[in-house]
Formats: sequence, C-alpha cells, structure tokens
Amino acid sequence: MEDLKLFYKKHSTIILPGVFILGAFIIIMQVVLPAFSIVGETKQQLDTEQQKLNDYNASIESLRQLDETKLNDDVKVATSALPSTKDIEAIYLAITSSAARAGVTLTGFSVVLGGVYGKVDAPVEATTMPYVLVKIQIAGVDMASLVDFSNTLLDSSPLSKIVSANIASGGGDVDILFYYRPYDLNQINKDVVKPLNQTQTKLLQSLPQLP
Amino acid sequence: MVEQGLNLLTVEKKREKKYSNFFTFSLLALILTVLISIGILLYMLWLKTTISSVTRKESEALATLNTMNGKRIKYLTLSERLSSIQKIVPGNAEFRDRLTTIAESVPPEVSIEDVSEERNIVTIKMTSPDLAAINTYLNTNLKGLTNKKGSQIRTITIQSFGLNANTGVYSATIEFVFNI
Repeated sequence: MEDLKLFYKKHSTIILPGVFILGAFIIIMQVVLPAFSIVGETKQQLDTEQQKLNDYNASIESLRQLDETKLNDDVKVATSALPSTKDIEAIYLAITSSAARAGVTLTGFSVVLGGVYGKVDAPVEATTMPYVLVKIQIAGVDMASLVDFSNTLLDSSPLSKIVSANIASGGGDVDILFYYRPYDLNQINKDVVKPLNQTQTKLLQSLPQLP
Repeated sequence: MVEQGLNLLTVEKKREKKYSNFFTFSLLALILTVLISIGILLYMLWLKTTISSVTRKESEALATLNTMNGKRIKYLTLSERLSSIQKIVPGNAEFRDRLTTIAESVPPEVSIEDVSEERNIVTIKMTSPDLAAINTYLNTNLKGLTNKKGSQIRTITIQSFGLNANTGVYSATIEFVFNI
C-alpha cells in the first residue's frame, strides 16, 4: 500500500491525466457513440409518429369538411361506374338504353362470363382489369349511329370499352368489355384519409351521373 | 557549473508546464465528454417524452376518427374506386375516337357502308355515285388525316376500289392502322 502511495505521489502528474483520458475514452465508447445511434432511431420514431399524427389530424379535418349527402352520391356514381361484381342487369340496361338513344336496334345479346379454370386469352386492353365480355348484334346502324352508340355507352355505367365491331349492310356484331373490380380491402381499411387529388376530382366529375 | 544549474531549472519548469497543460487538457476532455453525455441523455429524455405525448395525441385523434368511421369508409371506398377507374379512363374511348376521326374526314357525298374495327385496325367500305367526291377524299382528305396534329393513324391502305356497273356506284375499301 505504501509502495502504491509512493508510486502515485511520484507519478501523479501522469497518472491523473491518464485516468481522466481513459475515463473520457470509456464514456465516449460506452455512452456517446451508442447514444448517437439510439438518438437517430428515436428521432426517426418521433418523426414517424409526428407524421402519423399530422395525417390523422388532416384526415379528421378532411372528413369534417365533407358533405355526407354529396359523399353518398359520389360513392354511388363511382361504384356504378366500376361495380365490385359482374352486374349483368346493369350491363344489359346500359346496352339497351345506349342503343335506344343512338337509334340502333339491339337484336342479340350474349355474355361471356369466363371459364371456371385455366388461362383465357384476354384482349390485350383488358388484361389489367377484370371484365365481362358482351357480344351484341345490332341492326339499323350506320357510321353516325355507331359513333352515337359508342358515345352513349361511354356515358353509361358500368364503364365499358368496345373492343371490336363488324358492321355490314346496316347490321353486325359488336364486342364490348364491361369492367368490374372487387374492392381492395387494404385500401379501404386504412386509418388515414387523403383528400382526392385534382385528377381524381376531375375524373369523378366526368363519370356517368346517376339518373 | 552555474550555467548548467540554470539550464536544469528551465528544463524542470518546462516539464512542469507540460504536465500542467496535459492535466488541464485531460480534465477538460473528461468534463467535455461528461457534458456531451449529459446533453445527449437529456435530448433522449426529451425525445422519449415528446414521443409519449405525440402517441397520446395520436390515440385521441384515432378515437375521433373512429367516431367518423362511416364517413371514412365511404370516402376510402370512393378513393379506391377512383384509383381503379383511372386505369380504365380515358383508354376506353379509343373506339369512339378512332371512328370519329374517320367519320369527320368523310364528305357528305360519300357514305360509309361497312365498318369493322379489330384492335387498332379500322376498315371501312365507302360508296358514292360521285367519282370526283371519292377521288377528292382518297387524294386529299386521307393525306390531311395523317398530317393532322396529334394524329394517331400509323398507316392508311386503300385495299380496293371499284365500280358497280349496274348501279353506277363507286366503292373503296380503306384500312386505317392506328397507334396502339
């Protein structure tokens, strides 16, 4: 013990600063450096939570400003334009009313509902969206009424696309795709509501309105 | 001898000053490190407290949102439908647009008898008793169609041209290939 004291007294000018530097080094290695990464993660977590809070508040504000009656109408318009199931009745009504408005006589109507199993060669235009293929036969049609028919069909729900037509001597066949799509529950079950963007608002206004 | 003693004293003083500087430096380094550590710990504490506060506010906001659940689901449904519809519209109007482009180019003296459209190919059969009208259409209007700004027509082919001697009606079959 005495030897140690003697040793310390003799070398105190070196030992004490050495202990200080060693202490500083240990603090840097054990506290400061690990703390930097923890602080980074915690800051990121705070930013995420803050963003969530902002999104929730923005959602509340958006929902408060919504007129529920208009919202109900908009949902009806959008779901009529793109039903979640194959709505054969709506398809038939769209075709018959479009034909009547264009002055075309509908002479035949058949629906290709698709196979039960196996891959089907779908029209290229329709591969990204489920559809019902409807084959119709029409009479009393010329170029002008065919344009009218396609126009009125575009203004009808459900949304459709004429993929082929073969008209000769005032009558012929037209193949039409009627689109539908099951609801994407991942998008519907979200907590955050984002306001419709300008494109979506314009699109909503351009959709066939309900009678 | 005297000079040597003085030199030893200077060296000793220099050494002491060196040790003193070293001591001060090491002490400052330790204090600085401790202060930085305390600063970081306080900042972490502040972050944790803020996170707790934000999380509490989140729960309150979520509770408020849940009171508007019906409206929220309707709005999200609307948004979901519109996102899907964006993939259909305006691409579904191609048929109408192609026919309209062709119909607008046809003069009133010429009538279109047959129309066929398959994918991006539209074929029409036109008739007219007026040869000059058909000639003008084939030589002028068709060229105008391809030169039109934003024209989607890739090629135009006159597949046939003839006269029905019994009726005196001229007919032409034309194929329009549009860009996909």
